[in-house]
Amino acid sequence: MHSPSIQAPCVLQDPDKHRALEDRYACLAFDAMGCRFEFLLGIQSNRLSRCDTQAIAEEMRDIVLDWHHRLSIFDQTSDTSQINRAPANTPIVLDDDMYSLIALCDRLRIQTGGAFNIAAGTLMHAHGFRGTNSKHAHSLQGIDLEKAFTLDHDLRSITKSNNLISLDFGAIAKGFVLDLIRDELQELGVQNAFVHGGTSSILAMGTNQDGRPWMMNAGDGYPVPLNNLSAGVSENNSQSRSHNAQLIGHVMDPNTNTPSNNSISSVVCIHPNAAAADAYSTALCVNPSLIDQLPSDPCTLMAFDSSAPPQIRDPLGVVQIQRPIK
Amino acid sequence: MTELDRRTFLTHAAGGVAAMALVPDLRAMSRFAFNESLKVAVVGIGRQGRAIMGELGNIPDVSVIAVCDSDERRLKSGLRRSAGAQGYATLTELLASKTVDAIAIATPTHTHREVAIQCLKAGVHVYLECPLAHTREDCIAISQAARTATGVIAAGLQGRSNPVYSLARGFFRSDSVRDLISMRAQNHKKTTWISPSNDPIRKAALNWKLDPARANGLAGEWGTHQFDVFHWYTGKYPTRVVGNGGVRFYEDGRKVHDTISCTLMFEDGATLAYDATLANSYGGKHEVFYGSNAAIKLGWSHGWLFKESDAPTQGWEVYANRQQFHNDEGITLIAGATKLAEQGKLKEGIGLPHPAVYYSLENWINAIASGTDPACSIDEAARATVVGITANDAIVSGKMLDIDLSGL
Repeated sequence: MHSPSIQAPCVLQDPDKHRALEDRYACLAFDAMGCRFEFLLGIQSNRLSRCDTQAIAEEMRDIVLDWHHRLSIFDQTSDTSQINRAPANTPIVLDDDMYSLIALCDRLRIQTGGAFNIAAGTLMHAHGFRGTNSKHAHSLQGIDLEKAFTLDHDLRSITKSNNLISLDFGAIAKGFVLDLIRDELQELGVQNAFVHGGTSSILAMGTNQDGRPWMMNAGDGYPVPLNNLSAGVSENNSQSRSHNAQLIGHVMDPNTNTPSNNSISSVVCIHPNAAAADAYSTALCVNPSLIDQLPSDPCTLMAFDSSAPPQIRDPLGVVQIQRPIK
Repeated sequence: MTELDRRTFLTHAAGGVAAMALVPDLRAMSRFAFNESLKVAVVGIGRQGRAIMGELGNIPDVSVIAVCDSDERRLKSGLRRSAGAQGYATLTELLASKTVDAIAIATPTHTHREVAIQCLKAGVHVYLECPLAHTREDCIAISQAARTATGVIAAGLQGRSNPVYSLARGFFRSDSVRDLISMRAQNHKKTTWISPSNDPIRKAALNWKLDPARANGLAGEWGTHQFDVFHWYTGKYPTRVVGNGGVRFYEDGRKVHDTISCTLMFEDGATLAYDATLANSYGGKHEVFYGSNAAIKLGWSHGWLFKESDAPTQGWEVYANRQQFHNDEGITLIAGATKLAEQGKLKEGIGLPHPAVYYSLENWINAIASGTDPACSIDEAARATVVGITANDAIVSGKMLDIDLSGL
């Protein structure tokens, strides 16, 4: 088990810009959860000293690393690995933090009609994305991921329905930890911060040092302001492997037990809750028709296709995209 | 305190247990011998306390049933991480509950004396984080209390239970390095060393490490752990120390040095050069023994043997893993290498799967189960701590000081 390395934020690689920003932001970057996390915490805008702001960034890093170790499917001592090794039909008692996460995932599974499902890890294994042989896919016959596990609220336990069920929090872990970070930052009096994990899970709090909203580029360069919002980005082919001369994307459809197969190339979801943003963006990658079916939360969804204009649902009215997709 | 049958192997299923805890590790066979889970409390739920809670959870037949911290936020965070545990705001309440067999103490160093002695008097098994205490007097007091305690008392100098360090010590003591020429160690980590809080009173309480009246700087807090590795390997303690330090980076009015260096001198003329900083992370934390035939470098999860060209070659070296470091080639020291080689998994053994604190806790639990001595006694920790305290005094005063281990 190796701790992720800590390096300078890539957003600040221009030395001049870096120096100009150093007085205004505490910056911290490190590798975790299979990507690079970067923190920008305003110093003056949060009325904190540089050292205190840096200390807060370090504390937030520790939260990310803690959950990195707890949720990793590659670390044999992680909570996820232990659940995945557990036999079927045996309740596994969880601590409150882990139970809350899995209960949240289960609610999101129901909201998305099963398109988001942490039990999709079973499919990742079966389709050869975890170093396993794709012939393993035959073993999925008869497995219903809607009933992959049950939760007992009183006992705070999870019970798998089949030995092959394998949880994978990859589609929500970063968003989940960003929500924890937002709560901690607020508790510590930080109101202005920008945090992202691998540019695909984003937390924007307050404004930047100029008093303007934090901005993100969605899709192929559409600037989107984030006013106290989070963003989740999912791409169908960010990881893929070839099978029988076909390219298989890493996004799995838990309703069919097969890799997702549609024309959507990527989805951006902007939502007050980072975990929901991550889960909805994944669900929409799996099932584009959900764009009109997801709960009526204050949520913006953008689905990008290689040939069609973007489909946008924008209850918040914060995004106006007029140009068609290339 | 629950009576434990140390010889009875636990079988969860035989008791008709309806649910497993998430931990202990479901793969692992129990290596211990309790007739029921060992009931452990963790006192002090800061960063180290949370790490201890997490690692105890990975040890079979151990249940963290109580957590204790006077800080409400930390106590709540501990409770969220321990299924079914009871929370206590004071140690008195915890001990009065008489529900625990063993207590792991991870409170601030300057509180160790009071907390440890209460626990020792209660007759529970105790794991005490290191440095052992803030002053020489406190070290002596804890040592004396430990001598009459009935439980298994272990100190958290983690090198002594680290499998890579044990393996490397075997090489060291079997003449692989030949004549010991010198020693060097460092701990470089870029960190503010600040625990943030927007409540000034809480912030002052949490940041005891930056208060010279309550902590012994980098030499005391970090150096103690690393100095002990040299004590353990050589069987010797330094007799004098000189050093210097300063606040080189953090301009926040702190009094505790963020960068230090010191030299510890041994009776036979050997020296240990040590430096630590909070301003740079290059090289991280490691210890090096320089000998006439080889050098041994230890990096807590990894270890290497760097041989001189005129040193004799041993048969096993042909099969050893090697890593290149610029112009030097290191033989990786892998715990359990022979077994891993038989399984064709030698490469998986490079680097320990658990952090150092896991092995330290595992050793303590094993000592409780087997009735053996733990890898690190309170007396050994007391001596290492006094070396760290004296090193800090030398750095702060700028004077060469004698290291007085009499009475320890």
